[in-house]
Amino acid sequence: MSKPFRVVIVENERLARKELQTMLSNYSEIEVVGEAKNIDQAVTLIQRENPDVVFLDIHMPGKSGFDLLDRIAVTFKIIFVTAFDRYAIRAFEVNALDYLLKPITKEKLDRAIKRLPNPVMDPLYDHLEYNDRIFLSINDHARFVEISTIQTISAEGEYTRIHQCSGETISIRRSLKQWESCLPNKHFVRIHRSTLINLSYVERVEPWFNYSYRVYLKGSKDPFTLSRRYAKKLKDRF
Amino acid sequence: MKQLITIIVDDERLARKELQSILAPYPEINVVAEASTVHKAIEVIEKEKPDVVFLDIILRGGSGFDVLKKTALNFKVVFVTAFHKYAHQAKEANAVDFLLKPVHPDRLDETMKRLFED
Repeated sequence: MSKPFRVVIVENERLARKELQTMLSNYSEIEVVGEAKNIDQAVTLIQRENPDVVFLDIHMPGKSGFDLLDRIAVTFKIIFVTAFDRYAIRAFEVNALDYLLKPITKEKLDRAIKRLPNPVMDPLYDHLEYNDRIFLSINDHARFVEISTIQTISAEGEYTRIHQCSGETISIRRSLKQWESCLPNKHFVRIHRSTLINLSYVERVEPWFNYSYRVYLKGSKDPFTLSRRYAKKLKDRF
Repeated sequence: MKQLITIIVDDERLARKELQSILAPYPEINVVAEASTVHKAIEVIEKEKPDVVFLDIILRGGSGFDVLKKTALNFKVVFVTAFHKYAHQAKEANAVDFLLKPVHPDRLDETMKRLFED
């Protein structure tokens, strides 16, 4: 069985929080990891628990649910819970998963939970062609990135950094493995545990210590290390 | 490159033309048909089996929501309307996006991202 979705409830009314907790306890795919009764508490809780989903009230004393989204990086799915339908247009702006009008019924909750993405890590994209482009979210804006302009992708913890030939870099919360599974492997190869490169930008390759190599890319001052392990794989492939 | 088979449904000819023109810079979008009424929309959807429908809400013969109720086919919906009051219903219908007229080309980049997200 896949891991349950970790959920945080943000709602200023205690009874409403309790009621939602009770309803959510009927879903084995949901685990409520915390509750917050105001935005400040919610910020601390979300940063600590890193939930998959936040059930977010809109009207709260002092600040609204939308203020929360301005204060933290939104790395979770949002399900708004509110008595007012007039904010639904903003729910689209922030790409909320659902917008539930109070009182919440089982039918509404069923619908929202059915929309949660497959918990198994889905491939980032279907297999991409070299002349494709992808849309990435950067600082809340969507941007095109042409695959052919990607020189390297390097791992940075839970993120990967895309380096484009223009010199621009983009950090995105995806793994190198996900990139490797969708980028055209005729052009993109893993040369190191933490680096994927676009062969089209390789200028030269020089032997280095311990059967490893240094890979020089066009327009790039510093070389990348092609480790011994990946050098063998590359040789076998080509 | 994956192309999305796309249909535009709007009762105003100029609105359809304008949407066609702001979708034109996206080679991923292939507009195969247009419709101006609920009845015609259902007909072209059943025929073309689109990946995505850009759907006005107020239509002759009913509403964009009626179109969704009357077809069993599965496709992504982007509502395009002058009225924000339908946003809640659009969310209930699991629309990918909800664009207020006049649609700004910059806003469409976000719509495109969501269409290719799943």
